[in-house]
This record gives sequence, structure tokens and C-alpha cells, in this order.
Amino acid sequence: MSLYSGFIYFFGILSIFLGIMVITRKNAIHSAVYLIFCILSIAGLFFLLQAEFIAGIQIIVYAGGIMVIYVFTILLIKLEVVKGLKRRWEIKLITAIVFSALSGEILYLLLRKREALLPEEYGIAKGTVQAVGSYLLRDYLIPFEVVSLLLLVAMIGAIMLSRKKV
Amino acid sequence: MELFLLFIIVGLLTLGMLFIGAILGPKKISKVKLEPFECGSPLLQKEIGPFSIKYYMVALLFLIFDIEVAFLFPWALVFKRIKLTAFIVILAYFLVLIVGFIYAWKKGAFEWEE
Repeated sequence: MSLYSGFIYFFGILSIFLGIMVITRKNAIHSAVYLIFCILSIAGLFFLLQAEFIAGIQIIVYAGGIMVIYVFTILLIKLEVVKGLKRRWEIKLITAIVFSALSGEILYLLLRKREALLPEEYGIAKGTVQAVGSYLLRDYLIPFEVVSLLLLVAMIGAIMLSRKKV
Repeated sequence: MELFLLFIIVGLLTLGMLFIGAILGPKKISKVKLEPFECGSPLLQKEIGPFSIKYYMVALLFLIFDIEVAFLFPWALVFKRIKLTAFIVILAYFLVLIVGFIYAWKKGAFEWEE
């Protein structure tokens, strides 16, 4: 086992372990802290897979930004109210379906179509920031501009939702 | 390869420093030391309580501008190669977002008082 695959295994097992810790903690804040480290270890995996831009975004946006939102959401709700709630069976059913579909897909890819997991054969370049930039500004100009519209919609939505007088 | 060595050395160094600190450092635990630290002031409340929604909006706006800036990194690295196109593209990108910025400002999203 080379050093490289050792690191892959390390981050993979670490992120699975931290993910299990996230969903088994009683205290929501503890879950959030474990989720931060889970996200960071997934960023390590992205980094090892040479998707450096995604790794950076994972750290900046997910660990830095979205986790702040999660923590604020936890702070905004009264935890005593949530503790008493029973999970509805519809949500359980949807979770089960999504989980089995996703894990089935991953298992299928691992067992049957392993070659689909190797991006080089499909002409996908390395995910360095530079490569992503040249893709964005050469082939995906319109989607790049649409991103700004999407962010605008999100901004307006955030302001609309969190203010009483609109 | 150098990167992995860096990871290993930094990891071992960190663990070693923590270990040495745990062994050699004096341990004097007192009640004050074990309290959660809140900017040096006395604790306002014991547990996590309900929060003002304004914090949430600040967090949401922070996240949006965060993502906005994240797209600047790939742009900045290819700017030297595709000069004018890149400039026009980012100009249009920011024009749309400045509309949102002005909207947020006009709606008083950056003001704390109602």
C-alpha cells in the first residue's frame, strides 16, 4: 500500500467515523462540531483526488460558511421543543429510499463499472483552480453568469425571509 | 511526495507538541478556568438559548458573499491569459451582484436596529 492510498484510506475512514459521530450525538452543537471535521476530512479526500478547487471551496464555503448557518439554525430553534418530537414515518421512508438509491449507485459503480470512476479516461482535466478557471471562462461562460443570478436570488430570498416588514 | 512528507511532519510536530505540553505543563484547574470563555465578560446565560434572527441574516449574507468571492479565485488565475473577455465577464458578474448588494442595503439588511 503506497503512501498515497494510505492517505486516501485515512481520510475516508476518518470521514465515515466523523459522519457516524455526527448522526449519533445527542447534543446538536456537538454534531455540528463533528460535521466541521467531517467536511474538512472530505476536503482532504478532494485534495488527494487532485480536485484542488473543490477542496478549497469545501473548506471556505462549507466549513466556513454553511457551518455558520447550521450553528445559527441550532441556536435559533428551542432544542427542548425538538427533543420531544417524534420523527414522522414519511421522512423515514424518504430517507431510506434516498440512502438505498445512493449507496446502490455507489456499490454498482464499484462492483460493475469501475472504469467510470477514473476521470482521466473521460477527458476531464485535473481540478486545479487554474483548470476550473479556464473552463469557466472559456466553455461555461453563460453558466458562470447564471451563478451570479442565482446568488442574487438567494440574497433577495434571505432578506425577504428574515425581515418582518418587507 | 513532498506534500505527503509535509503532512506527516506537520502532523507529527503537532501531536508531539500537544503531547509534550500535556506531560510537562502544570495542571492547576480552578472553577474560573473551566468556565466557558465569553470575551472576558461574565456569562450572560447558562445554556444555548434562542437567538435574534438578525444574526441569521448576517450569516446568510456572509455566505452569499463568500461564494461570490470564491468564484474570483479561478477567474484571477486565468485573467492574464484572457484579458478583455475575463474583464467583461467579471464585470457582468459583479453588476448583477451589486444589484443585490444595493437591494440589501436599501432594505436595511446591514443595519442592526429595526
